[in-house]
Amino acid sequence: MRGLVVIVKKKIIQGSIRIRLVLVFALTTGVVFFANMFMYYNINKSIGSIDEVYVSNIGLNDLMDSLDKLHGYVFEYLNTKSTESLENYYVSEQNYKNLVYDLKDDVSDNNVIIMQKNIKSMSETYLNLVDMTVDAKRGNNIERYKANYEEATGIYDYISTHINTLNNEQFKYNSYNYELLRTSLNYLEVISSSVLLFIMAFNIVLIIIVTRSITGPLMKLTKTANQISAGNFDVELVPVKTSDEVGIVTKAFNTMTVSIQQYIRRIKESMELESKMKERELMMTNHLKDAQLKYLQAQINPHFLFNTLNAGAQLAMMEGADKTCLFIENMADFFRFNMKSFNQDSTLRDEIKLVDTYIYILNVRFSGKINFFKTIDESVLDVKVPSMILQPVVENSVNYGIRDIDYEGKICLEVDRVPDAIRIIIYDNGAGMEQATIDRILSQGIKNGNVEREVSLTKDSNGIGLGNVINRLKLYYETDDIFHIHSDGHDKGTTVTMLIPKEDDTRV
Amino acid sequence: MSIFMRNLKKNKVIMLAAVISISAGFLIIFIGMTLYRNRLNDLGAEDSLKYNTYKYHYALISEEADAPFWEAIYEGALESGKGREIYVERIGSSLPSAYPLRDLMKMAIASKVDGIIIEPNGEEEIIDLINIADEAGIPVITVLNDEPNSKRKSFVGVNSYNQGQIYGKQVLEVVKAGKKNVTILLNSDSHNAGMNVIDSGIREMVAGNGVWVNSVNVNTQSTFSSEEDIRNIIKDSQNPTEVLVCLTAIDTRCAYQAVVDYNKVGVINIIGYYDSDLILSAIQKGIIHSTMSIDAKQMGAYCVEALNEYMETGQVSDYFSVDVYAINNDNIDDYIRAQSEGEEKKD
Repeated sequence: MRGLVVIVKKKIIQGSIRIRLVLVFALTTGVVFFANMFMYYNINKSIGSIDEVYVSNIGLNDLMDSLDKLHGYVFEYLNTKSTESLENYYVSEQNYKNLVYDLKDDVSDNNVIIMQKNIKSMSETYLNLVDMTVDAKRGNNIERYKANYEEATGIYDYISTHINTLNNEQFKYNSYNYELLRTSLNYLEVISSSVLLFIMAFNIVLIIIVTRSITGPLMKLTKTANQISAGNFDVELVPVKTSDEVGIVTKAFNTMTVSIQQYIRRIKESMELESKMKERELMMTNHLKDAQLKYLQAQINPHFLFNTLNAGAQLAMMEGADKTCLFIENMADFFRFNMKSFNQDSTLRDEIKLVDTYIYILNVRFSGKINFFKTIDESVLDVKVPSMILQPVVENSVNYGIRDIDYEGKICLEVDRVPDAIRIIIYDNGAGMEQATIDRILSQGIKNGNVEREVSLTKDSNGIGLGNVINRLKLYYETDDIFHIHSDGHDKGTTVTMLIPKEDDTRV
Repeated sequence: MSIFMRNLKKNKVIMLAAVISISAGFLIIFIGMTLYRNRLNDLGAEDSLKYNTYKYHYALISEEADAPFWEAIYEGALESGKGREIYVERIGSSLPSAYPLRDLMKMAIASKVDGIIIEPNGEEEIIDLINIADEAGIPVITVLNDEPNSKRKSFVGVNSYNQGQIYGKQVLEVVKAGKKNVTILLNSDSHNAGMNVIDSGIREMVAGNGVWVNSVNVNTQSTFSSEEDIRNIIKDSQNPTEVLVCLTAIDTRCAYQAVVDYNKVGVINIIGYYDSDLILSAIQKGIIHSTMSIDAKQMGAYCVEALNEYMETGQVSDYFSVDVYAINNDNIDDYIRAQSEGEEKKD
């Protein structure tokens, strides 16, 4: 028993929802049951009182019947003197005595009770008289029994009247009581209903409190779950306040939330790792590119030539050969530019100067056969560009464009501004190019990290081909749309257009 | 705070709510029950069963037991008895039909009461019944009317001669105002000596003032005949009555009503008997000239005291006299004031 109580207590403290609900419903129904008991108790009491009301009337009717019988038998005996009626008389006399004995004989100011007392006393007188009458009859004392019978009949009448009156009185009193009882039943109805209503209200409050204690944590849980389902995994853990079923679910939910957060963190970490690796790979590619670039630049090593040419220029000056000296100086400039500018960016001004130097050297070589025109927008001269981008193109125009033509060759260089870019156009009226050749040149770039070696280096070249220029431009400006070649066909000349993206101020 | 402790606290709150709501439920039931009990008590369902019990049972017997005058006698007797463990019952008052005096007497004897107070009506049979009661060990006291030839133990009443004198004085007052024709209402076939003594007392008092006194018997043999007789007297124009002397309370009321009905106010002066509210207000209005007042309560109390005295000592004084006085326009205000003061005291 004690153990059971302890277990129940423990369970209540643990607060299983089942136990809590059962407890609440048991308690509320218990209270309602008591309220009903209260009602039934009072109703039964009232009905008992109503019963009592009629019992007293029934008792008086019995008394009256008994008296009637008694008097009838006396009359019968006096009339017939039969043994049977005498016996009947004795029986009914005893019966009447018993009934009368139950009447109250208090002297009281209550009308009903004083009447009972009078009936009792009169009945005693009557029974006495009747007894004397019967005795006189048996003793054949005619005169006496007649007088006694007359007197007894008179008292019989009084008793009947009294009993009837009492019956009436009692009925009146009982009716009044009945009215009272009816009224009290009405009150009972009202009071019982209000009691039930009050208890209902209290029970509802109790149930609300209990269900709140159950649904409250559930609502919190739902709210948090909704947040998680909406993608917000950084929710606070739902506090576990109870150890009931909801508490268990909440705990499980919290564990799940923590697991999800950990899982997401792990995924994030691995993703970061992956992206780092990719970055490194990219870096490596870049380095490779750099190396390729270095390699390309290393194809031309002009130091030796430059120094040699300087020595030649000094020699020509000492010998007084001015033209030779100028030529060699130009040559030296050309190679010095090459040597210097491979390491860093150049400006358009330097690039154009290099083209001028190159053209001068070629014109000395080919006795002024090359006609070179330039149209320059002075405002863009200070724009920084990768070095050695113009000269190779011009060299290309000289070598493949105008070298083997029968008519006078012409090369034009135009630099101007277009929206968002600086446009550089190098035009020649030479042999032109076939579309297939153009496509080959343009698609010649970095493929799978390998640079196709430009095998077809011709003489009179400084070793840098169009492919190199295109690749460098693409790497430098990180765009493919920078270098265009156009030719209308054989002997129709070639136009190379470079669109240098307008750079931000820091680069200018 | 650990989860367990928080848990415990939360469950405590729930347990507290449960305990509170259940005790509230029981409280409500208890309140409802108390309210119901109170309601029942207010209704008086239980009060009606409360009663006092007494040691002795006296019977008060009169043919006019319900008349206000007798009510007052009864009240006086009842009050006087209460202090002595005596209950006085008006025999026959609760019965549906009115029984003649002898039947009531027989009932009282058969009921074996401890004492009888009776106003005899002069019938021979009543004397016999008084004697029978006495033989059965029940002392009998007569009130208002005496039956000196019976074995009654004592008589409580008014000195009729004195009463006649007082009536006579009132008649004289009216006579001084010029009225001559006086009618005295007696109860016919009354063997009652008292009325005759009153009658002669009045005649003696007014003699020599040139007043014509006429005594008329009002028939009391059938139930309503006295009222008819009184109306006939008032209607009588051949022999018009100017002063009407009533010797009973009932006659006074009948005469009053008839005078009002036949528009004889001021023409006929009534000298009445007893001080009921109606009669008093009639005096204030001037319809009734004056009335005799007997302290009826005192009378009832004397009866009970006499019986009690006999029961205790075995003997009692033969005659108790009750005061009589006249109430007229001069002293009515004082009288009413004294009466209402007395009632207040009683309350």
